[in-house]
Amino acid sequence: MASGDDKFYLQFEIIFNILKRLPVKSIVRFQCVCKEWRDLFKSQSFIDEQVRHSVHEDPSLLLHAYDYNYMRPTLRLLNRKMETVDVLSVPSNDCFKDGWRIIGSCNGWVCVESWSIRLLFLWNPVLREVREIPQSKNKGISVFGFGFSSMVNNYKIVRFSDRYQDEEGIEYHIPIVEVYSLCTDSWKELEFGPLQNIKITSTNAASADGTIVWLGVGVVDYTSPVLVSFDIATEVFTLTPIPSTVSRALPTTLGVYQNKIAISGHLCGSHSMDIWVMEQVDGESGKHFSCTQAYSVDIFSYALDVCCTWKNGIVCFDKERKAGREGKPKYHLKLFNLTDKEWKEFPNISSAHDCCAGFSYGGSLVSLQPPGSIALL
Amino acid sequence: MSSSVEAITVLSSDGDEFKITVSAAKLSKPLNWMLEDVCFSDDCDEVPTIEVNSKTLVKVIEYCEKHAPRANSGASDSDAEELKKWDIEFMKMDVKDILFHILMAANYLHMEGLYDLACQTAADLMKGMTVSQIRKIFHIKNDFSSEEQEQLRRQHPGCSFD
Repeated sequence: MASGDDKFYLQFEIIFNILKRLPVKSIVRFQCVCKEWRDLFKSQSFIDEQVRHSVHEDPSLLLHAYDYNYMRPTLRLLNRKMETVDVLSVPSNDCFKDGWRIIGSCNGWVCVESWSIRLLFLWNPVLREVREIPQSKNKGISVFGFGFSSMVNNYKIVRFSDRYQDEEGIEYHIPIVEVYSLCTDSWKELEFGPLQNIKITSTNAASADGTIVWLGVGVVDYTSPVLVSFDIATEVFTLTPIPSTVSRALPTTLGVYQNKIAISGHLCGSHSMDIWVMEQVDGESGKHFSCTQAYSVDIFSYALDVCCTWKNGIVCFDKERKAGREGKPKYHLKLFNLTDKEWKEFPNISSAHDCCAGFSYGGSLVSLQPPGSIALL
Repeated sequence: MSSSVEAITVLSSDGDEFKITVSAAKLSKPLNWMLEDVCFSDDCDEVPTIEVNSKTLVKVIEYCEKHAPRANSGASDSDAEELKKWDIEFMKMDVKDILFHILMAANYLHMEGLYDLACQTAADLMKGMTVSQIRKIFHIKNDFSSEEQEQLRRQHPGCSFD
């Protein structure tokens, strides 16, 4: 134990516990401290513990603001005190030259769709690593989902799109679903199975605990909303009907709350913003979900839209009434803390951009480069 | 242990006596075991020693006494917010002088809340420091040879050993 002597040494266990809480930028800098630290930062046990802490215990908020044509992007990282800690620079790479959007975030990696060249990239903004995803045979407008399963230790991207087929001069378009696996670095087409009569309606997906989810409707009547979930390990789709109270909320946002899939939105014609949590149930016919209302929050303004879920709260846009004048802010960002039921405005985040996408983001040292390439650390 | 006892006396590693309430002592597993094992009634003259110096023990006890009511009863959310603010004020201390001692004490006394808080405080203080400041507070020698430093600089332009 500590003596009166000033020169004492902390146990390794304590140093490890402190270092895993540092921002990735500082960790990269501190590999120059000594060989022991450099080797520690490369070790799998440290990389795993650091990402677990930064994703689950202390996630940052990644805000991607851009205009309707995906131009003028700014990407910033905010800490638990809601302060901007980093404005991330975009790689000087072809895929970021024109417009791009973020499909999802997982273990410090974001999946990016390049708007102009129609390619997908994985990008670790704090490590500044980029990995190109091979092109699938099918082109066209797509809905994506990106996630990780610890069970199979693999990252996958799911893509819903159409394939055009020309038969005797008549053009058909056939809906298809494909999955990309990082381990095999390739795409494959999946059976539609239960998705036969379903149309995906959400432009974004959410991912938690080895599952990717989207919102959809049955194409027969277009009125029965469903939650479409994809098990990353088994590659099986499951449908869960969504209660009509949930589907009346517009627009709805998919997110993650306490490591569970959550749907949030405000109910048409009401003064409340609601969040429903999807509890996973292992039934006879495999995994499915049950939908429970977690919170109902009184709101002060109809001009409020859900941006994303983050930590124990919901990030919302408060749109300016006289939006659109050049250089004037079009929205402010506010956080509703579900624990203490208080609204807080993000300081200095009013934006003149048209759109803003938010992601719960934990910076990580996880390298996704193919074997043989040089990792940064 | 007599049920009438509300506070116990402990000795620091410097030999000073400190009083800590039973409910506060329950925040530490080893202290809790001591409560169960050792006789703390007035006619018992055995005073247990905690291997933590006086300066640190004062702070540890202050933390325990503040957090005990919530830990034992489960207070409301507004109290949790107030406690968070108190923690921030409580943690305003010098890294080398006292924070590292608190870290070791919290680890040794199995106090999860204080340990997490102290680790996070240390990380927040360290993140802006230079490499040589880090070496100084952790008493670490730069063991990279000049060739290794050169190699790392080539791999990561802009990395600094100072």
